[in-house]
Formats: sequence, C-alpha cells, structure tokens
Amino acid sequence: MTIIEGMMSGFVQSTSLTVFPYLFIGSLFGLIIGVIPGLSGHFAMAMAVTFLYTMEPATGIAFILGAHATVAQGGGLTAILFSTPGTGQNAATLLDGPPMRDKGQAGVAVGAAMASCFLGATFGAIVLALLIPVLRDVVLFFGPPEIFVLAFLALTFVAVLGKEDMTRSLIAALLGLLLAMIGVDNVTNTERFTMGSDRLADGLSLVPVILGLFAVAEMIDLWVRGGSLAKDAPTALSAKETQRQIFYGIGLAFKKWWLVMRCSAIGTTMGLIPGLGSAPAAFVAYGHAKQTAKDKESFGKGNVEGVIGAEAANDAVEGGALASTIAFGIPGSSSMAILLSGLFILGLETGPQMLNNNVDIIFIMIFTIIIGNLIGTVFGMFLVNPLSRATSIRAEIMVPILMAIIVTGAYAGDRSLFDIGVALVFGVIGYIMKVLNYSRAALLIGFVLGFAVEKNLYLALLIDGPFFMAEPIPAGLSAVTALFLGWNVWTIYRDRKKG
Amino acid sequence: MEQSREVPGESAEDRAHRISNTLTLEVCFLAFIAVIVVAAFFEALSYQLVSSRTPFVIMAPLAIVILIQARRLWSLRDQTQFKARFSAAISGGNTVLNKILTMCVWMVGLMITVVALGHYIGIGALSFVLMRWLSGERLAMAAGVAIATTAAIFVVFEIGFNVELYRGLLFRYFAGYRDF
Repeated sequence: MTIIEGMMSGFVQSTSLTVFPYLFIGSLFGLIIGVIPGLSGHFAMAMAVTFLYTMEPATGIAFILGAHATVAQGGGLTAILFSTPGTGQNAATLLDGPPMRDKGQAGVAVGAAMASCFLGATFGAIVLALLIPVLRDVVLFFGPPEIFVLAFLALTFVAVLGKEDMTRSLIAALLGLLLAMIGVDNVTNTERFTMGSDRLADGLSLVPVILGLFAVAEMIDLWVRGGSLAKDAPTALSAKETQRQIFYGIGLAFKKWWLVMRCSAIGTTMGLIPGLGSAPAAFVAYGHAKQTAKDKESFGKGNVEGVIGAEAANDAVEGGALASTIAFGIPGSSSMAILLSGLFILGLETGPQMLNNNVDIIFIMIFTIIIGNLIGTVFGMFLVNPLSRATSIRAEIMVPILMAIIVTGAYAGDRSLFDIGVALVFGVIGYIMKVLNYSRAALLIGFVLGFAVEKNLYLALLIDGPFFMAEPIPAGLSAVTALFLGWNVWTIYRDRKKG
Repeated sequence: MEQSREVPGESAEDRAHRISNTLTLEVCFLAFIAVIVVAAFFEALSYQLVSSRTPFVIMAPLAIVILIQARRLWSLRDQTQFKARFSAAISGGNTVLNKILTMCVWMVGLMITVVALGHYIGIGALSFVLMRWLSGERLAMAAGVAIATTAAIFVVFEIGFNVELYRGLLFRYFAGYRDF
C-alpha cells in the first residue's frame, strides 16, 4: 500500500459512520477523564482497552486513541480554572494559567490552551506522517539482535528519564520483564512460573494487569485521599464573557503560530525519546517560550505565551511517541505500552508489517489525533462550566462507580473471573508502587516487551550465535545504554559526594 | 530519597512518622520482591537451559538492583524504626493502612460475591456497601448510584457489546449446570 493510498483510506475510514462515533465517544470520554484530577491518560486508555475485544481494528484504534488525545486538553482546563492539573502533563500550564485566571482572563487562557493543544497535536501527527517513508527504510536495519538491544535501551531510558527514582524504576522494569516470562515457553513448550495453574499457562493477560496498575491503583489512591476531587469549588464563569474570551484566546494561539510551531517541534522531538513523556516536554517548551519572549518578566504572572508553549508541546509529544512505537514495537511511555497492547488485542503487528501493509491504520491514528483534538477543542470551548463541575464529584461516589466498570472490564476481555483477581492484586501492587515511587510505566513497558525480548534473543542467538552483540548496531546501542546508565550513576554519585 | 521531601504545613513529628512509615512499607515490599525473585530462580533451575536462559538474563541485573536498593534502605535504618512502625501497623495504629486494608477486604468481598451470586449482584451490592457503610453516603444516594451503575453496565456490556457477564455459581447451579 502506497502512502497516498494509505492516507486516503485512513481519512475515509476515520470519518466513516462506523468509525467516527467511536472516535467521538472516545474523545469525549478522554476529555472528561482529563478534567478530573487524579485520573490520567493511562487511566482513560486502560478503561478504553477493555472494550477493544469486540471492535474492528479501525474502530478500536479510533476509540482508544481518541480517548488518549483529549486527556491533556481536559487537564489543561482544570489546571487553569482550579490550579489543579487534571493530569501530570499539565503541570507547566500551572505557571501562567492560574495567574491569567486571577487577572480575569480565564477564558482567554482556556481558549489559547485548547487551540494550542489542537495545533500541537496536528503538528505531531503531520510529523509522524512525514516520518513514515524514513521509518520504512530505517526499520529494515533492525533485525532480532537490534530489537533485543533496543528494548533494553528503551527500558533504560524509561527508568532513568522517568520522574521516579532510577534504581526503583530499574527494579520495576526488570520485574515487568520477569512477569512476562510466566506461561508456556514458545520454544520448548515448558510451563514456566505457572505454579501448576492452567489459568497462567497463557501468561498474565495484559488487560487486567493494565487495569490493575493504572485504574484500580488510582481508585485506591482516591479512596485513601477521599473528599472532593478538586479541593476548591468551581467558580462558574459568566457564559457570554467566557465565550468571548475563549474565541479571543483561540485567535491568540493562531496569531502566535511561530511559537506554536517551535514548541510543537520541541514536543515531537522529545516524544521520540522513550521515557521523557509530555511533562518534561511542556516544561522545556515553557522555558523556550520564556527565553525567546520580549517581556520575560511577565512569565509566571499570567503571560498567554506560557500557556500556549506548554500546551502545544504537551500534545505534540504523541506524534513522536507513536513513531517509535509503530516502527519498532518499543513503547516509550505507559500510554504507548497500553496502545501497543491494544494493537495486539486488535490483531495488528507493529514494525515493517504495519509500515508497509497497514499504512491506512497509521493514518487512522494520525487522523484520530487531529479529529480527536478538534472534538476536544470544540467541546472544551462550549462546555467549560459543565465540564468543570466534574471535578466536584466526591471520591466516595466516584470510586464505587469506576470500580464496578473496572471489574467488569477485567472480566469482559477473556470472560475470566481469574482476571478480576489479577486486576485487584495488581491494583494493590500498583498503589504500593505509586506510594513508594516505583515506576509503574517501567513495569508495564517491561511486561509488554517481555515476549519480544525473549523471541528476539532466541532468534538473535540462532542467527548470529552468542556474539550477536558484536554486530555494529547492537554494539552501538549497547554502548549507548551502558554510557547513558553509567553517566547517570556517576552523576548521582557525584551529587551525593558534593551533598 | 523521595520520601524525605518536605510537605508544606507538615510538622517535624508528622514528617518523621511519614518517612518511617514509607520506609517500613518499602522494606516489606522489597523483601516481597526479593522472595519472589529467589523462588523464581530456584524454579528456573528446573527448566531446560533454553527456557531458563531469558529469566536468568533478567534475574541477574534484577538481583543486583534489589541489593543496591536494600543497601540504600539499610543506610536509612535510623529513620525507619521498622519494629515500632510494623507493630503499630499490625495493631491498627496506622489509619491510612487501615483504610487501604478496608478497601482490600472490600475487593475480596466483591470477588467472592461475583463468584457466588454473579456480576450484577456483586457490583450492585458491593458498590452500595462501599458508599453506604464505608463512606457514610445517604441511603437514597447510595442505592440510586449503585442501581444506575449496574443498569448502565448491563446496557453497555450485554446490549452494546454483547458480552454475557458471569451469572454466579448459585444461578448456574439452579440453571442445571454442574460445570462451573
């Protein structure tokens, strides 16, 4: 399939009557989840993934990616209105969003944030489309030895660059890989670590593990914290004034298109690097916006450029993150790991297979990101006040409702009661990991990559023997991994010595 | 370490308690992981080399980082007060832990109810229990939300996605099934 054919087919499919309703519902769902502090993009995707079993690939992708696309928009809204970022990735918006609100420009900030999200996401999606021909050639250099080493490099990046502690994240990543070893070994047909249970012969199912780590764990956290999800009661804005300000804010984002482009480029580039994620990208973009601004002093006191820069980078990350996930099957974040699991469930294969034969699927992803963000922007504009009320729902009401949905989702995948138990157990583990600052993303990525690591290690040994690591690309990637890890360990050691 | 970060408005005593509680939890969690890894190691010894090779490749660095983390925790032993914090937790003196354990017991209850009485009764009844008795919500609110949630799940899963949720051992027994 040529790229033009794929693009046409992707556009027709994503706007068709069979796919668009799922994209619409997914986007709306993501927006609402994003608005609620404490529930993140992982949560939205973890919940969405449970419905994929009964869907066609196009509808499934539109649904799950639509949910993911709009989370940052919802999060930006609460960051501006209540000084509480709906998701961690909106933390940079806190620097200038709330001061704008305090100056009576909440609508301007919301409009600018929504439009910047849309423009940033569109930029990232276009970059992804432009990267397809390049990735098609690059991916041919990556056989089993390269993929095996690349998986370890990605895990190292995730563990080191993530917001959690490095040693703890490495433990989580390796534990994830070990958990993936549970089940029948594909080479010798030996049952490994199943404790004699037939249920574990196929290994731990992805969906309950995802739901446990990211959904049940968040529910336990909400239950422990209790009270209202947003600390301060939402202050309703006057509808007419809000709309006027929002349209003005949207206009400002388009007027400052060069800033949006630069910050989006920062976001997309940082998205390509596994482990960095949206939050650091937003802060770097914010710093860039401040550095290049004429009135640097006004930053932090309510400068709209601070909101535009952070929000544009936030959503532009997805294009870059999707590129490495699609090309190498190596997810760089927990959201991408969940998306990869979703692709497995939908029967899709990443790598050369997708880049050459399923280009339409890649374009469905691209159009989903663009259309999803557009839906988020339109709904965010007109439903600021109703959406903001979602933050005042008390945890005591929210937890039972969401737990009922999570438990049902865990069962629905394989119609297995055992999976409900798995979700609940991983929920407790996920909560403990969250409290102790162990990276859940690293564990999930390790778990998702486990199968690929083993398969590629086996094939690499079969093809090139025990010295496959001496091949140029694996040797180079191994050196990068070792140097990166060594440099970070040395930095920690040096800082400790100074301290 | 992360736990030693200051929380605004927290007294020195509360901070010391929080740190020692977190460190105690981490000691337990790390010990749990270590036991699993050791058990997995001995289990892997019984497999053919082809099957145990990858687990060993993973376990070797895992054991090293666990030891590094254990060493870090050991260096903070004066802040841990492990015995005192562990005893307090066991005797119910840790309110946060009590709340988590309540949630865990609720989850076990949910699981048992789903298995015995079916999915709908399980989520309906246990949602009600969580809202009414464990959170002290008003009766009408708790009942209304529980019924609405159960009905919404029925509509979405059974009608929307054609997924038949588990009917429970009791239902299946009276329906004539003997294979559960």
